[in-house]
Amino acid sequence: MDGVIILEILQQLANGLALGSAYALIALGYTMVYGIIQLINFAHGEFFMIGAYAGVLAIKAGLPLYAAFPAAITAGALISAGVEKIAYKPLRKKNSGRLAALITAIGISIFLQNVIFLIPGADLIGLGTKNPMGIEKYVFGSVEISGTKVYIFLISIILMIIFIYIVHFTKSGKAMRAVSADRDTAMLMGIDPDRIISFTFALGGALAGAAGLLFALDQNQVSNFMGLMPGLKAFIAAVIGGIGSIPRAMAGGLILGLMETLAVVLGFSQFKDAFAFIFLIIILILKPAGIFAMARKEKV
Amino acid sequence: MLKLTGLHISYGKISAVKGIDLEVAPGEIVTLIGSNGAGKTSILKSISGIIPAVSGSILFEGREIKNMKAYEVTALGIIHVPEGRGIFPNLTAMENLEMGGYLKKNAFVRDKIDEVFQLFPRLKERRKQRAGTFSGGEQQMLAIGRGLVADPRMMLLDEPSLGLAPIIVQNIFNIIRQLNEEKKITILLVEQNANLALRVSRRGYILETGSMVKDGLSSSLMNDDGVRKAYLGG
Repeated sequence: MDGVIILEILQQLANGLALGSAYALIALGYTMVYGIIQLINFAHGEFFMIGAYAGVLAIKAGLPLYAAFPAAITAGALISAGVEKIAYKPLRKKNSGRLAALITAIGISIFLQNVIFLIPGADLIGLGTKNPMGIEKYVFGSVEISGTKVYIFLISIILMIIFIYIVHFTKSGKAMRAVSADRDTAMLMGIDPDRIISFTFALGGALAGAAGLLFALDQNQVSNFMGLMPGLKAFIAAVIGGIGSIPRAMAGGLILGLMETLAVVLGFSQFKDAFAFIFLIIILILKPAGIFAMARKEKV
Repeated sequence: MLKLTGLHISYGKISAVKGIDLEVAPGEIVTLIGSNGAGKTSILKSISGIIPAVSGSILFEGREIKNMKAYEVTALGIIHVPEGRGIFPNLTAMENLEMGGYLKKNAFVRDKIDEVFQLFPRLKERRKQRAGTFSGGEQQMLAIGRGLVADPRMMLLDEPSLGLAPIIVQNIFNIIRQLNEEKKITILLVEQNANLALRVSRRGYILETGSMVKDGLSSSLMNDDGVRKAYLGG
């Protein structure tokens, strides 16, 4: 009996961490874009979806997993930077304000969800037995944990480490932080903010694309609406962490993933989506700047 | 080296700078003095391309730079050290200095940062700390140091004395003189502290509510009755 409970807890923990780390990957794109141009990019979930399609189509074409990830990442980066260039940049140049950009983001989101219908049968593609992650299980003594969840968690962590390296140690990453702190002064350094904004979108889109493929492998399918819920959840993760901050977005993602899994464990699996939104509402009422802002304030 | 002619700057319908002329010759320190809101900062910002000029011309070595983007102006070697220092608080001192050399090669930037550390040993001690935790004086050193990494031919310094203790101000002004004499950097210095600014500069311009009211050698401006009354405390 005890063994079963431990197994259940470990399996759920793995589920929660896998889900949470995937949310964290998506949330990073939200938080970075917000940090640099103060836009809540509601089309971000669709970059996740496009990345998933690219990865799944690569796998269906017979490419191995290590080639499918670059495909998902590249597709996510290209669509993200492309949307920025076509839709957001012209608005920025005309100083049309934050609301116009926000509505545009929602419009892009709906457009990308529906443009998939142009290709018959593309709105839902199953991987079937081609899923390279299969149904492996890891056995630790008497405990079994699903391999896919472990992979999702590990790949997410590796991607986040690479991402942190880029943001902190490369010239473009430093320039990104400089532009988000003070765009005018960054220009005085010789930085072209438009290039850095493109770079930011590409980086966020790349992470979303990778997360999309992870989700697709877990669900064994892709669909044109698959970005909607994870996109909203990741937005919630970024907000509960405190939007604009990279480590807090990651923490927010993990917390949300674990919370949602907890809801399932407690028997509310039908309500797990509602759970995330209730959590968001509670955070917004109690601490609109994010849960970590509260912890910080108490210290001072 | 730098020549402004009939420069007009406005914010919406309010004109901040009403057709001023100003010239800086190579190797000079020229100061622009005026009270708060006279338009000094606007002039520097329009030279460096942060805000557009409505009309007039800005020539740098004979080339019109009025409509250039700020990052293009920087590439020409005009380095603007903004008011309130404008350091990146979320970046470490070292990262701030590296951003100064954004357009330069890595090896060059490393050498320049070593030079900056010789000039400001304090920055070397604190290089790994976030610039937001620095004192006002340290931030000013960092802002000037960051400008130097870009290997400027001309520096635009906006109120380097602002909010600093007198002893630190003296130190900063010694450095400004040193940069001009040893590194041959031409300097346009904007200041409210007219006394210090006139002592360090060769020539000066006096700006009042967007118009130039007087200009000349700093030594003669210091002895001018009007300037003394208005800016040097009698």
